[in-house]
Amino acid sequence: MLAPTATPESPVCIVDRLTVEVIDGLARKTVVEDVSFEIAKGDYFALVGESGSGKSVTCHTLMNLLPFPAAVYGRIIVDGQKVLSLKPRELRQFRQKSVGIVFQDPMAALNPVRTIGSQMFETLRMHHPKAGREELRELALAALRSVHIAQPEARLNAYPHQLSGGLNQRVMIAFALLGNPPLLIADEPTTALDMSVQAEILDLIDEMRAQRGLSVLMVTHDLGIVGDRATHIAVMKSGRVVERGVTREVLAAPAEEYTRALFEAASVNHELKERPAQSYGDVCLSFDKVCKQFKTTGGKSKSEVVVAADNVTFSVKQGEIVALVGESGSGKTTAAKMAMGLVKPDSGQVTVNAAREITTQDVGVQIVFQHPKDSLDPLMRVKDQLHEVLMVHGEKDPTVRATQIRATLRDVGLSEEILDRRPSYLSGGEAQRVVIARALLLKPRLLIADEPLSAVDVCLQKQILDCFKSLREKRGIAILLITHDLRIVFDIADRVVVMKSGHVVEDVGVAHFSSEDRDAYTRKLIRAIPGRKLPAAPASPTVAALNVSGAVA
Amino acid sequence: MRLASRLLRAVVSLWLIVTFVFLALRLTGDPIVATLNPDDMTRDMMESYRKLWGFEGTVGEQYMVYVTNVLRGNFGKSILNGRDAFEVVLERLPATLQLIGSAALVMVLIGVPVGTLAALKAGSKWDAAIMSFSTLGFAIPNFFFGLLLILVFSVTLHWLPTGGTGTIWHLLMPVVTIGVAKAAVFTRFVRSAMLDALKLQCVTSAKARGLSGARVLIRHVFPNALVPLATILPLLVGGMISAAAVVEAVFAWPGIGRLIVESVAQRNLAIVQVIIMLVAAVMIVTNLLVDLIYSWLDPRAAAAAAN
Repeated sequence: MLAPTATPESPVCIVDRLTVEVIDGLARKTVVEDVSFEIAKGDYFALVGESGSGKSVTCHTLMNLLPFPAAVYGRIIVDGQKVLSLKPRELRQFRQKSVGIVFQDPMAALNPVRTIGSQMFETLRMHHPKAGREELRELALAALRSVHIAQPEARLNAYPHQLSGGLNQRVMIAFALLGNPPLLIADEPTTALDMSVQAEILDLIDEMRAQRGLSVLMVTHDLGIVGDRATHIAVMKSGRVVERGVTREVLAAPAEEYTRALFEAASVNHELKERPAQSYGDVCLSFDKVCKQFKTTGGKSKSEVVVAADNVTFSVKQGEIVALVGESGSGKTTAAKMAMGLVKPDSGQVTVNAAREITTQDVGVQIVFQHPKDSLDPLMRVKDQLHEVLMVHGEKDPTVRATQIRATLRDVGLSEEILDRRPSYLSGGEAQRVVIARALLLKPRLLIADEPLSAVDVCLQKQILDCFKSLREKRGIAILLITHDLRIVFDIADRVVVMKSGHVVEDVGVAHFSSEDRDAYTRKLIRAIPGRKLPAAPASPTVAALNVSGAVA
Repeated sequence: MRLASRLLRAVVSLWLIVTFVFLALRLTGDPIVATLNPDDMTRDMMESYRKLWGFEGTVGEQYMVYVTNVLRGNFGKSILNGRDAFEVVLERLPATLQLIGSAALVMVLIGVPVGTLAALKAGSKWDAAIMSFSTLGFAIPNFFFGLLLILVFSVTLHWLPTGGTGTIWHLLMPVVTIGVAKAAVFTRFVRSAMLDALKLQCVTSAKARGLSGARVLIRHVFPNALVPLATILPLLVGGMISAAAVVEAVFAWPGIGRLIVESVAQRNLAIVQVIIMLVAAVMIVTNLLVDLIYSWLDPRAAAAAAN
């Protein structure tokens, strides 16, 4: 469906010298500077960049939807309309008909206190003011069916929290397409989802694009997704477009260091050699036929039994990095909690460092959490937090503590100047390494890392992984790495344990992980890794790639 | 099951309050000595009064008698005129309900629109002005504001009666005194609840679908803002009741607020006990109600409670 002023040849979206300044009192801060790009009909345009690079602000500006007071300069034409000069009524029309948007967290993007149906009818009523109740219901059901939602009738009466993340994101896509817009903006639509669900959602977006001749503006930091699906790419950094062009060409020869870092994070190295068995020491964590069930009283009287662990058996040896892989709800976090002694198994035996009784005071096991800034005290200096750990465990001499802290910081590759900072002055990567250092201070033999990279920017992920690797080399520490990102597994793990609904479906050395005779579920997970179409290795920058970088003429 | 355990907890709370009030009142001095002048009376007369009002024996014995009587629906008699204490309190209840109900209406009618305006214009001059008035509103003591109103509208302008009851003109000043003070507090709560709700992603998402500003506000922001507001309901009800005690005294309003002030002065223990039990019961019921409202307003809370 084309807007009256647009001809088939003219781009669906033109952004011309867009500059956005955030107004904070009298101060102004430029968050987007001189950004220009065009999206032709049917294009799959990827906007790539780290957090704070201005890609989300650009998307929000496209819909004139900025959540803060801002000064916007430049020209934005979407679906033939000058977005920045639309009157309120025209703007509402524009948002209804010309562009749809899908956000990162589908649960938050839907109103938590109203049913899916009620929110859907409300939106449909704008598009079909004369439709009756039954007609609206039929339209809503059709919209849900078009995004392949099973049992659409039941979903209409459901609240967002009753649906899975993947289903909610499907609902959001249905919402975004209700007005049949020519452009769909997807702002990191799969960052909050499991990888196999991510593949399903991205496939759905591809299908919608093919079916409706839709143009897609995909915001992401995953070059794997870009390589597999996008036709065009623009890389943003500090509010500017630093590199841009046809995906194939840019990826063949990324000019910017940042693009190359993204590229590295997205590539999967399937050619792996197994480490010799003698490089491992004794078993330091073992699960022996461990079972754990949780009872939930869902609703009035019916109680549901959730099986978090069913006959789980695996072990981690000294010096070994074992990846525990599975989707949300597969029981991997419960396993970690049992290893920490935070959850008691119903039956079976969890043994840590040959001790059968695990207590939370055991310093032989330490954990690193997903959100580094949440696990640091925002008000305390790094120095004080590190001293506190040693103090609590009985080290009274401050000079001894300082020496240990310095040594540990060296091990995680941090300089001592961060000691006087508070967590808000640390980058994500620094903060996560402080958390690792804090765990290492007690000289654990086993480190459990629960999704340690998912809150860290791509450029910094490599630092953390290198830090883990060197810890294993220097200290012979064992690491149980819990993750849903299989690319990390290929990069760092020696062995992979795959869990599904409380069962261990796979326990195999990483060299054999991607072979074809693996479990069907494992193969499904491996297939879901984005980045199949990425070139094998990025070449050095060429003149061709440099030509399309920077501002446009 | 959950409701039953909540009701049980409510009954236990009520019983604890009854016990506490009973003991506190008796441990702060012999009520007979405090009420009657021992110098004027013979020991026999004192003892007969003691028997008449149920102050015989040890505190433990008195307590047993009292609890048995309460369970039978007998709350004791007023020492002033020998009337049933429950009846005396009940008689005064409608006046207080009328006062608090009207004040609550004033509070909501001012608080919701003004608080919403402050949230929508957060950081602006409007917001600053509203917040300044709000601070002023709850900084001024009730009795002072009430007396000020009397001075202006009754003494100087002769527009309104200074106190008493009967017409809507009598109601006006006490209601405004409580209503405005509570609206000052409520406006702040509405403002912060609205500010939080406005930041929700689903509000942005609703705007992105092209819904009108009014619709986004009413159907997406308000329902989310109501959730935190529901939790402060008991706080507001409690505040209303204590404000009523003061304001009823200032405006000679014949409600239970004034009754309890008088009864404490007279050491009319039966009446004091009934009023405190009644207020406690109201607070407990309000809390129960808030639990129910909360799960109704936020289906996630209902799901979390079920787990």
